[in-house]
Amino acid sequence: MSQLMASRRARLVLLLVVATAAITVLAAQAAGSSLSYYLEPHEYLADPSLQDTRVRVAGRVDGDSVVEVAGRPVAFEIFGDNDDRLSVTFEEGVVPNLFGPFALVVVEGRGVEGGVDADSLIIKHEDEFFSDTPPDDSISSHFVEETPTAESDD
Amino acid sequence: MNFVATLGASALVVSLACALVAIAASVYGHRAGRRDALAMGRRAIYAVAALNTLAISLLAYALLTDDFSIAHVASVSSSNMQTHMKWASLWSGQPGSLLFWTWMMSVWMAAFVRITVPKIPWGAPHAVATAGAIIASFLFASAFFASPFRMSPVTPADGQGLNPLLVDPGMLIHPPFLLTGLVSTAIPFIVGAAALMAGKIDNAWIRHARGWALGSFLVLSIGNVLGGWWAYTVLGWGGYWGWDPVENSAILPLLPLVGFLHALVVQERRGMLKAWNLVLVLAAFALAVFGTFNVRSGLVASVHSFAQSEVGPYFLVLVGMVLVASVVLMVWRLPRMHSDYEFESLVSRETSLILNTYVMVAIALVVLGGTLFPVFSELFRDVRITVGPPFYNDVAGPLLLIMVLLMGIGTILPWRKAAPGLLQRRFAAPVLATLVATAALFVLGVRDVFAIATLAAAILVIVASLREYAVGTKALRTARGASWPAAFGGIFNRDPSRYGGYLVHIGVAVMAISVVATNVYQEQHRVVVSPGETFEAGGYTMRFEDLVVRRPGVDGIESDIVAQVTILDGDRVVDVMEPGRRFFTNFPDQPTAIVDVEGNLQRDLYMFVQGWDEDRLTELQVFVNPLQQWLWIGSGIFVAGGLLAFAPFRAPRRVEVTATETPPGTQPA
Repeated sequence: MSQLMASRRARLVLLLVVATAAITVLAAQAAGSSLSYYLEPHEYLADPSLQDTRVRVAGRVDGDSVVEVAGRPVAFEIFGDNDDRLSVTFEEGVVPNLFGPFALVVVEGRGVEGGVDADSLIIKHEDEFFSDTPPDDSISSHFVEETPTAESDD
Repeated sequence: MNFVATLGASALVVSLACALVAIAASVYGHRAGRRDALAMGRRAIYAVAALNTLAISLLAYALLTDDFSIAHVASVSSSNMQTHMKWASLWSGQPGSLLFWTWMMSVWMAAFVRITVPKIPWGAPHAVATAGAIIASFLFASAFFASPFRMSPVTPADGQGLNPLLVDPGMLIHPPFLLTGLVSTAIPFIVGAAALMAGKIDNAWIRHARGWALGSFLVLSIGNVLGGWWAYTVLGWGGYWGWDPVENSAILPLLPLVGFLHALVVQERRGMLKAWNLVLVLAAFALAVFGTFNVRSGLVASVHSFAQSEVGPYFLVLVGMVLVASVVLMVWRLPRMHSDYEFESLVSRETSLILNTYVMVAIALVVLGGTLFPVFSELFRDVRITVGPPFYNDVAGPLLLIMVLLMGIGTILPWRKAAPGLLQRRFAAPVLATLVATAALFVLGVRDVFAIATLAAAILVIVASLREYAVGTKALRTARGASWPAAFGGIFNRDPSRYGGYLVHIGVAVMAISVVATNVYQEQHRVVVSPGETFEAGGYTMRFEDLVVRRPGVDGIESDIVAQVTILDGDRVVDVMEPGRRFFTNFPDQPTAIVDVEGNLQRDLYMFVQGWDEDRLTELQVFVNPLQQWLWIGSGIFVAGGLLAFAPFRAPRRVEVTATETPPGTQPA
């Protein structure tokens, strides 16, 4: 009887061991197909072998470099702590909230010469915010007020 | 001198002292057999909760009165923020969220000391001392590393305001639920640690940890669902879960908690899994602390991370201490953790529960491994490598499918063992119903193998759970001669955790159906249009009318620029959608999305704006998310089930309502 019980327990343990092995193999395969190197701009630029591999690069957006199509940024430069720059193209995918000049972004995509052809763009939020005064030529000044309100500053 | 800041900071320091008193008094009282010292330890925990309540009230007062001489107030609030958003800023930013965390943890601990500690004389001093140690470690961080009462070097005329992304009513509910859910994992941990320290590894600790674990599971689940809802309705990327490292951190403690809520039934009924249950509660809290570290350390790139700060390494030490303490306690008491019974059959409910908790832990390890992949790769290969959403989808996806399948099978299987004839009777109707429903899905055009498998498993769960309700109601009706509705209500009263649990299962199944539909069958349309131009998307004809500007004049909002899009049926206007971008005074060049969702039970029409040029040529993105609303409906069912199951301080009275189907001698008495 005790042998029987031991055998049931052994079978369960065996099942769990096999399952663990299967999950490990699955995880290793999945990891292998979705890896990307996470780099600072200077690290990326220093290693040409990263071209054509999947990379993730973190840097700040150079506001003067942003190229827009229909108001959507499709290309821009990012720079790191020591001002190393790389160009980013981002023609597909969703532009995240708070994208703009000096935003700290993480771009992910295929490495190309001097830059990244990105398919993912995320903003890395910071605890410290940058105060600024409203611009004289506000973004909304081109538009007609729909229903001026009491709070309107115009 | 700022009175509020001084009083708040002092309250935190005195609170820390009280936490240390709780530890010392409990240890001394236990060793010397002094009941007065033990009582002092308990009262010290109440004092910690009271002082932390004072501290957070003072911070709230400072926020509501625009006291910008306090640095935290100046950095997260501004005078033109509405009152409810000032309340929301209480738990934003590093110091605020940490104070909220510490306060909420102390409140849970005070409730635990009041409700449960008197009922566990075998481990009361251990529990109070453990609670004191945990709260002291967080108070230390809040008082010295990330004090919310630090003064501004120069008092600004106005504050900087809340981060634009957080200016949303979601901020009022998502973080409090999530943080509360995370801190509440401390209580099952404390009960488990007390049981280990006291060497009381029987079912007693399980009885007292169950209610707290269920409460924690419920609050944490709500917090995660609210996070998904917020991401979906506010962030404007069309989804609700992105496998972001911080999202992962929030869901990680939930997995061992769910495992525990299932494995504890096996321990209660079969005397098995004693070590496993302890591992699960210890792991849940360790993962919750890991989450606080992860979000504050700058360790991984996340959309949620705070800036890297000195508090990060401190929390790493804390994670290490929790892990080491847990391992030491487990190894010390391992010889006492033998099973009372052995398996009688592998085809039994206990086996399915064991497998399901195994799957939970496997998912947790996969998610943790993926989250920490860059750290390990840097450690071993000196290069940071990340894994993206495909990794999680490829690995966690199949595991979640197995989890749902086991939920269905486990519900049908009897305890201990069953004759083949009984199994056939139990499985026949659910399997047949599932096959018919799956065939119908195929006929309706569902061809994706993973989608079909998951939908079939979800349908099995729903049918199996409904069958349990039917069998239980019928048995109770026969036993009592009650009406059908009365008998149906009666089964929840008889065994709330079991029948509430089945409702949770139905909720999970409904959510799984929605997750499959939205992931496999989502349609995405990207259009660039001029004012007046008509376009097709998702089977609808739409016309982009124009961009208009609105100025709410509150919460630091400079302007909302809204695209008016009419949905047409021929010439008839069916609906008007208004997605747009929101611009903030303190972030003039960094707009956020205004998402518009027009939903029904079949699908959500989800629209957001990516940008426009000086000619108002505008890029719109239109997503069609099938069955999206069912995710929220499933969440509601899930929560309702959790609430029904929540009878934390009452031992369930088990009635074998399925006894009529069970051969004699196969069910425990």
